[in-house]
Amino acid sequence: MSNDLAMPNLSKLRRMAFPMSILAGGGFLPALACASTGLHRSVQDVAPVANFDALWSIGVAAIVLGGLIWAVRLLAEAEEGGLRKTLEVLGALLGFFGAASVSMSHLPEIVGIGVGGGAGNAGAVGTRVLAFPVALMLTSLGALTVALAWRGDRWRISAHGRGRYGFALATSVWLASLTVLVCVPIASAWSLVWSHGESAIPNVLLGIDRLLASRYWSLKCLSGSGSCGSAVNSIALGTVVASLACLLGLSLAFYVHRTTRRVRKWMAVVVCLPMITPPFLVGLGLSQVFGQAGFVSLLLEATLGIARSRWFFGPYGLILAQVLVFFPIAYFLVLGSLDSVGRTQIEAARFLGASDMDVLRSVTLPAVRDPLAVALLIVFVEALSDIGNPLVIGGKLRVLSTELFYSSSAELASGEMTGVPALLMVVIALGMAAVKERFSARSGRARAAVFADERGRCELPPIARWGAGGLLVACVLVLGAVYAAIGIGAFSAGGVVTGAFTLENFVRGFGITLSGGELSLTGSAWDSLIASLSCAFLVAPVGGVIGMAMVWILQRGGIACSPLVERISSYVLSVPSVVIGAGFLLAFGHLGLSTRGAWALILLAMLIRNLAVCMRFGGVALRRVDSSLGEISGLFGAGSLTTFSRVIAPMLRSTFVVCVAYGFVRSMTMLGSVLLLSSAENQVATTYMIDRVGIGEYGVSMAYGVVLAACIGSVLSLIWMFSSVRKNAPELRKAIGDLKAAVIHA
Amino acid sequence: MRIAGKATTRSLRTAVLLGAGMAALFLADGALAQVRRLNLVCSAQIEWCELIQAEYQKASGVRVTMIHRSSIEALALLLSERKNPRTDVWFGGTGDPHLQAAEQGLTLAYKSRIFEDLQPWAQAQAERAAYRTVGVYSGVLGFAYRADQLARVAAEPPRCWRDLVGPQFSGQVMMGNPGSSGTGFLILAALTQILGEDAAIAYLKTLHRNIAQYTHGGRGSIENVVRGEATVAIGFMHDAIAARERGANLEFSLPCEGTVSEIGSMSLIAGSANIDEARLFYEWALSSEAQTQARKVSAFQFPSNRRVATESRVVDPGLSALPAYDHRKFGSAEVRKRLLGRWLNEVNVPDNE
Repeated sequence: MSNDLAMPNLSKLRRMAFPMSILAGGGFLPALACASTGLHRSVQDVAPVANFDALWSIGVAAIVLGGLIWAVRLLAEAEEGGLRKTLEVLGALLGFFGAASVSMSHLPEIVGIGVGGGAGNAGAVGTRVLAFPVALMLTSLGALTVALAWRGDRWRISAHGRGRYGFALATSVWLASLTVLVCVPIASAWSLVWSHGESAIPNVLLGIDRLLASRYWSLKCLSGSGSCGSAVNSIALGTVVASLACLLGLSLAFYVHRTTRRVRKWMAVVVCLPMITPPFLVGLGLSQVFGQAGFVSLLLEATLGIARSRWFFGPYGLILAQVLVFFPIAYFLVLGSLDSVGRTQIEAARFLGASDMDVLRSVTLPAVRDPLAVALLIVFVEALSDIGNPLVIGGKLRVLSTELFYSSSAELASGEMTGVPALLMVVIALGMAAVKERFSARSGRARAAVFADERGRCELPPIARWGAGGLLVACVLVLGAVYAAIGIGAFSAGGVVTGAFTLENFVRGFGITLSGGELSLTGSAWDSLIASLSCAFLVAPVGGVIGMAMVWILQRGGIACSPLVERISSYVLSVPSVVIGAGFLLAFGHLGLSTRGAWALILLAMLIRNLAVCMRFGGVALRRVDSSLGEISGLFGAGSLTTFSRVIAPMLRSTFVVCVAYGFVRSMTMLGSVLLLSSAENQVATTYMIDRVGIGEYGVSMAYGVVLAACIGSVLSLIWMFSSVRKNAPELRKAIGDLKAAVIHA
Repeated sequence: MRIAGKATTRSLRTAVLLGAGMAALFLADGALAQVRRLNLVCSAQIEWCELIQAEYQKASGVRVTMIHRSSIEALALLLSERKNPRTDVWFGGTGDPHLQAAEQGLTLAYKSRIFEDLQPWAQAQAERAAYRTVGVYSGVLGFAYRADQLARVAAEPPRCWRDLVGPQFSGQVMMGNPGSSGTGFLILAALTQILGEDAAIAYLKTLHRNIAQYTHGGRGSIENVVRGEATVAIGFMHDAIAARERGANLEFSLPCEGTVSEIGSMSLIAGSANIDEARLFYEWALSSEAQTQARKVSAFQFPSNRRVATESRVVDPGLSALPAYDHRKFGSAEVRKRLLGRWLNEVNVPDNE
């Protein structure tokens, strides 16, 4: 009763609660950080700490903010899925994140004491320093579980009533692992931006000064008196690459949309090629075509007398390579939306007297507008986080990913040099993800509305159609030249297309000797290839299972705030992989990585990349499964695990197969996060290749590219054969259709 | 009933498969643990590294895993794993990072049984680091270029450092990135030694405009010149000679203002898991047999073992009149950090392009 009376005041408060709590947290923070410095100092006297004092402050800040939010939530009313729930979840998550950061910032000193003798002391300090954060972590986890499970009503007798606490616990563990594995490493990279000598107080002014340094933001290239900073370069490059890739994808999609089934099929093969080889292989191939010693340049000089130059190595080459690598995203997305434009829609427009141009303007273009915007953003972020191509063909161009790489791999790694690029990349990527969320939601709705209709034909004016056809031919030619250069280079001396034929490259990489009846692998690339294959085989199914299970729990588990949890997960998983690698190195490298520890980190990095796609993919597929099935199964008395394994999982089998195949390819070709984690015993295929390219051993690298493509191709065809024997092919096709959508939204 | 039976079989099969997979993993793990192992970080040229890996594996039966890293990256690697080293031996690469590793206590003091057989400069390198490292080879810094490429840009062969900053070489010079390659840092240090620090930075600032790319490892720049992607590379003569042996049309010269030589070194890693294997490898790598084998893969560095037969293609760093390179100074962490910092903040910056 009293609740109703207080309503007007509370609703006002509710609107204000969130910004207020953030403001209060912001003001409160420095004071608390100052107060607690004394305590921290005394701990520090025991052991010298690495540069993670600022992480400690970030952690404390998060704890305080979480506590404040938790307190503020009491002002909001308890409605189902409402603000109060959101605040509870956010508060608990922040608390957990803070506690994890605090304990992470203490870990180096504890481990340091443990190694440096005085083992008896280590335990005491360890408990003293860690007891509070660990307790807080457990408390937050509990609070999160309760918040997710308790929906403010009495126990409702429903299909999922029984499993709700289990689901809530699984979801909290999921969020907690994301926090520990992604957020805390990134926070530790960030903390370096604000760290200042030995002080625990984040130096905001110094940090801002570092963030805005001319190294990143110089605009001298515009006035012609120098070159631009790396952040400017990255953003400009991303923008240009995204627009060109979308333009190319759009034209090709328009052309292919109208052609025969056979052209469509062949285009799918051609367009998939850049997606199943490591991205930098395209850059390497292009440099063999257009570089100063590339065969097109040689040909032009010999025939037309155009002097060869190094124009390719730098922004132009990088743009060319990245456009070729990333345009398939735009292509598939636009083609999908063109195919979904209904025939009746177009015929109705014509019946009403619309000309070709009118149909294009009022029916076709609006249908591709939102998907195109999504593609634009995805390509932007992909180009931003690509590290292979800038390393191979970037020349002197500085971009954020290479700055991050050089600063983490060189011993010069003073904190802010790593922290600033990481922070900038994460901020840009998350911003793009937020905008993308809006567009993809809109395009998803628009698509669902017209999906049932028969496929219509979207026409282009003749001139544009010719142009698109020309682009298609050019694109196929260039891609063909690139892969031919790699294929031929693999079999020639020094990797040069004009070199003499040799098998030396393969012998050095993949040599096998038979001595005394015993087979031994003498090639230097075997270890990394086997490692890559085993990692990919391990990660792909695990990623598939976890991703699908999480999606099922979130969509059908009946826990509170599942949209919020889903959104948080997708944001966290959209962090560029280079940043994840650098974060892992910073956060866990100090603990002293054993070989197995490093493998675990590499596997985790691969898993995180796959989870994003698998979750989206599972979501798309699950939407097709009737929700009443699960409820009926529940009414018949099946537990939630039984329902999942007996009812839902069999229906998602082909989705799962495609997801595993995609995860496999993704893990085999991933470079960004693994690059920083590899060492003598932790090499995978891509790191081996990029190392060889770095010292000018192009031949071995290309031979590896050929072997890698052969491996991926044969594994994919094995998966296809194995699954199409048992299942009918149309279902797989449908699953592949889903995958396209999922890849694009993830 | 039938359906339930089928489902049970299926889950049984899954369980068996999973179990088998786990068992296989554990077995493989156990089998790996039984073998004698050696983890090698190698900063010499890749062919030599691969030869060492294969030859030592053949000679000793130890399973050698090798990663190739430029010397500065190798140092960064050792620093990042100092709490729990995953590396046993660090072979090759310019001497300065080795000295720095010794200074920071990353490496282990060890005096070889055949120490007296080594060249004086190799012994001096060991003494500088209190026997935490030792010289295994030496090489001279110089210019490598292709005559046909020079003709294309209408340039005379470069004879002096100052020739490289001329406008004809705009965007045609390559050198190692001082932040990631030992060769790159050696160039920086050599110029500091020859010209003085401020003059060296000023020179590099001018040179920066002619640089096509700072390659990841020092040898990458020479390989790029061989391929025709650049005209001149600053690098080690032995790399240029090796490229010539492979049939590349490469020429080289020593700068008229002077140059320096590196002392490629080898260090044992403190706290490594296979320290006995590492010591055996150390002795093997210093032996004259092992050092003679290097020539099989065109590694024409000057060997540190005096018993290795001389050869005409090998440039002797002691014979050419080189200014005395202050290994102690440029090997110290402080000088190194200052020089690299200046290069990073004054030379390789947007304002200087």
